[in-house]
Amino acid sequence: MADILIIEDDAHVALTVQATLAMAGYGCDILPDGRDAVARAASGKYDLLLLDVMLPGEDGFALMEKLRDCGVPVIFLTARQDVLDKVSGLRLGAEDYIVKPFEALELLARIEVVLRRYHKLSGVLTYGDLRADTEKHEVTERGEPVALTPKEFDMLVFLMQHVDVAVTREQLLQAVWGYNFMGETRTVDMHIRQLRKKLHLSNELVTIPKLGYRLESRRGQ
Amino acid sequence: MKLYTWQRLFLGVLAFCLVAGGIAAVLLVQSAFSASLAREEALAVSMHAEAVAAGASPSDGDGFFGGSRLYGEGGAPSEPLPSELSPDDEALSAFVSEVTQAEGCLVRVEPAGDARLLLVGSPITRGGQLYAFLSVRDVTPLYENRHSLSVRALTALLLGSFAVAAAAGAVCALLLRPLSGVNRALRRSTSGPQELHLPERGGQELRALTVSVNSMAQATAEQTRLLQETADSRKRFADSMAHEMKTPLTSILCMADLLRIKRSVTESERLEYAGVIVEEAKRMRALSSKLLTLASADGTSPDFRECLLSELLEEVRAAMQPILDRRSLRLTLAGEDVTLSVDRQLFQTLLINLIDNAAKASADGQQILLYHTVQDGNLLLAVIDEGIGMTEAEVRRATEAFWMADKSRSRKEGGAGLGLTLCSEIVKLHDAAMTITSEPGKGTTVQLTVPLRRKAPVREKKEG
Repeated sequence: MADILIIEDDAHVALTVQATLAMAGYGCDILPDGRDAVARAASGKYDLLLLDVMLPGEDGFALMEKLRDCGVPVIFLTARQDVLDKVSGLRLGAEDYIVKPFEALELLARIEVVLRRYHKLSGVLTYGDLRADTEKHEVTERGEPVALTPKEFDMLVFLMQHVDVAVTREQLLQAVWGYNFMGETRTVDMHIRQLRKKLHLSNELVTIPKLGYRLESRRGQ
Repeated sequence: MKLYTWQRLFLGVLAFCLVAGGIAAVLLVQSAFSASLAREEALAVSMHAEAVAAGASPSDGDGFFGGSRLYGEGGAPSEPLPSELSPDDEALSAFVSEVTQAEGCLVRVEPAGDARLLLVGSPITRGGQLYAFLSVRDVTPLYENRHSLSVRALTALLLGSFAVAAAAGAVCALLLRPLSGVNRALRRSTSGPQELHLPERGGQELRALTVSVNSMAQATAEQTRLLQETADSRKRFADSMAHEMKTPLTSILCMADLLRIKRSVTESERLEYAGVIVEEAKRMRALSSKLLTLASADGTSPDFRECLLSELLEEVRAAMQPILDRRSLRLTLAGEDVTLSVDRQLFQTLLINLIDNAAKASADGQQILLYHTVQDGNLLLAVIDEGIGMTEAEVRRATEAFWMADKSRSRKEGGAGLGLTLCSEIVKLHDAAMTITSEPGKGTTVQLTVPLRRKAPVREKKEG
């Protein structure tokens, strides 16, 4: 999996981000300020930088100017939600701009988008004997192709990206239909039923009461 | 019509010169002409009289420039005038009949083709017959002279007027040139008056103008700077506030989310995550209570009451004792007791914050001295610690909201960076003054100067 460098002065936030990334299987290191950031980023060890804007000494925007040449994608983490700040952050060459406070899954989802854009993540996801190729939009079970609708496919990919993580219906709606979709969560339930049926996942794709769904890693694996 | 001043002046002077000069020229030329005509007339009349006295006869033809002739009553000449000097017959016969009816001498100028003839006529009787005796004098050169004079005067007038007007315009433009410099400078400085400074030169009026503009620009720049500073500090406050609120929220939200969505959480993970949540929630609690105190200190009118300083200090000591004991710090109170008029609760908050700051800066087992004395109707109160101290730059920023000398350390002690901000607000409410002196490694002294008596018994309530 990818390695991520966190540059964040607040120890607890850094710890939180680290725990979140660890859950998704990323390796990560923490820097409390920007002093060694350029050298570390240039080392080539990292696939992504998470950069806090309000850092002691040099702030994140100033640091970004120096980090741009390292060729490592950068996501800003910031408490400022000013649109202008966001624009200037993105104009400096950042890939994304995440406003604090954020939820764990939101952070992971945004990181995945950037990593995928940089082809740091493999386009093929596996789960037991299931293989999902995100580039070809193909799913095979024990080598046999399974016909899925595009929405079912997107939902399967999202679940496979978050194995053992409980995802809410709202998160699934957002991930599959987009932020502006005003659909009902019942739509999600219907697609989940289809996935369970088509891919024989009724034991693994479990319903978490009052929360959503979780694709659990298969027993014996 | 949009004209430059020099253009206006040019046109004005030109019009004035043309009109005034025109009138003057006409009058001059006319009067010169009239004078010479009168001279000619006088000459002609005297010569005419001489001819009459010499007993001119109808046959006399000499002695006159134009010659003189006798005309019969009917107007027919006894002899024709030289043809080139003959006026229209009609005009001549009319003149002759006028002369024959007149008593004395008549003078008239009659056109004859291109020429002008001066006719002098008087009635005479010869042989019982009434004749008009006419003398003719050619005055054409006079008229020609007038014409050429007029043309020359007009040319001179036009040229002269243009020259004068142009000179006036040029002088005006020259005099007002600094003004366009002023204007250019003003236009350039639309981005802000701060860079505007006009060279102070030119005439007294211009100098006065540039001095005024400069001082205005300076005042505006100062005003802009103050506004900018206020806006900046507001923005800084909002930014810091967002940062201070959202940083703990991030940890809380994200950690709680992890606890919620992870399939299995190990015991050590649970302790770690929940520990972060609890600590950050405490941080938010500290922050919100400080913010509330700050808001109430800012928004309400303080309740001033007379109270004994010693009582107040003992209460403060009681409140601080647990913290002091935990760090085995010694708080020493020294100085004379006095009655002063303060808002008890706010003043205690002030002292507690100062002692708390001193405790945070101190190493375990150090001493904090609270010394107080009365001087010139003021209570001087100093909180002196032997702690880590601050640099000059840090002292300057100390009262700024959310600023912390040592962030990670302050955070651990539950600081939000609002203590001294709150203190300076309370100090302001009490019309008091607070000065901080500090030396890194030696310690910090915060001195308060509090008036013992209030100027007004009740401070006026703030708006709203």
